[in-house]
Amino acid sequence: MSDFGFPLLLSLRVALSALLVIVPIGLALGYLQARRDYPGRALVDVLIVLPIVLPPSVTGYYLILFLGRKGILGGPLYELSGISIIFTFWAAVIAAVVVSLPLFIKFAQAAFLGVDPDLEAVARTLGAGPTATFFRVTVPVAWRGLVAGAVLCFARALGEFGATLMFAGNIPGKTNTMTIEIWSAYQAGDDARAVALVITLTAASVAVVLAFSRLERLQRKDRR
Amino acid sequence: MSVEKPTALDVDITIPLGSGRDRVSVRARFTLSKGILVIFGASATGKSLTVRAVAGLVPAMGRIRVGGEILLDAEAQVNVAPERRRVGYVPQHAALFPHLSVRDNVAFGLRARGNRESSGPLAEEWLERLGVAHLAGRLPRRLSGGESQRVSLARALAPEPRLLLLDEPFASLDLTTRREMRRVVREVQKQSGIPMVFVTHSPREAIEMGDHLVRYGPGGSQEEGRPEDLVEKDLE
Repeated sequence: MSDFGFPLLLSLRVALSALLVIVPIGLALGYLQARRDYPGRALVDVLIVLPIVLPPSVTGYYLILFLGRKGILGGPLYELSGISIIFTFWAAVIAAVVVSLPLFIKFAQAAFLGVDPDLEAVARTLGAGPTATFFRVTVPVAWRGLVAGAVLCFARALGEFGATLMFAGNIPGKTNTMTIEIWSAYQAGDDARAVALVITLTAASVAVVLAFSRLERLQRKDRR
Repeated sequence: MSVEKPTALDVDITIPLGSGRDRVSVRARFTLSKGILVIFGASATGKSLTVRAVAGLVPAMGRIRVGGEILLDAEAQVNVAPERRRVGYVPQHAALFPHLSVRDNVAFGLRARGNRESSGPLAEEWLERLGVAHLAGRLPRRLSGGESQRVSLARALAPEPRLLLLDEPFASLDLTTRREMRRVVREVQKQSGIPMVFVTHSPREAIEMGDHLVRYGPGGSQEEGRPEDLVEKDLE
């Protein structure tokens, strides 16, 4: 149980970093899908949902294919700058982003669809530009749905295992997140350690579910 | 409030609708020298679409001029953004910002135009004029339909628009409140001199509100004239 703190902190750091990447991208894409009609919109919708249904190991394989040291994008990056993403902290973050971003986009999309477009129209006529309207009207009106999405997304990032194991590996002191550590402890027959990690993650998940259902209740109350 | 000199509204636009095979368009052509212009007609004749185009909320081709200033001239590639048109808009359902108090709703337009210090007092002044000053601290969901429309009106008027568009603003109110609200709007118009476009499908409302009227008929037909002359037969 000596280095129990590292995987916990690492998992939190990975999930938080992922969230920081996810929120701005998710807000933009969620709004785009909720409000704009453009050619190829349906295809983008499919691409957004895909990582939710793809097995994590498949997602992990794609990540290696694209961003690995010999990957389609990772190869040139390594040759030009010597930077290699695979098996690093950032690989774990990218894996977490890819698997949990779709959840946030879907929630943001639903939250934005719940905002009366007339509110935005009126804000524009009152002198607020598109950006001011988005941040002063659309986001504040949709906030509960957005926070619910962020909470769920954070939990998903915290629990990410398959794609992370493939793309970030299991390097002690570097990429051994909580979920990966549970697997290692179990493999090594260290049941006490596995149980302690399992209980911690279970508690975190219960907290997330409670927070989420509370937000949903408040949101329903708002709409009444 | 000083009475402004008569402000003209000139609209000559085509609004495209739908795409591909379902493509149709609404043509709108009218002029207002002062007072209230009523756009009257059955539903789905493009009345709402017309005011939304004047506000700059939907794309249109042609020309729109308010108070001598060109807001849209498709040929000259002029298309002023809604936030710079200074055209107020009151939609059918008041559309008050649910997360802001009544006072902050009315102050929204003043703040958006950079008037931060005096926005609070000015907002309260407008609430006072519309008889809802006592609601300043409330959230919109605690208001009745009539109260909501008064606040929506105060919010649209506070930044002193050059033109005010009202899109069937009283359609969901009861008869007594409707009558009262018509009186309020007429009074505000006289006091402020702000020209208004008022959309309605009620002949009674059209006659009571309009100084001038455009009648939207089936198949995109339009007639322009005095309200009494154009909706008389609908009253029977």
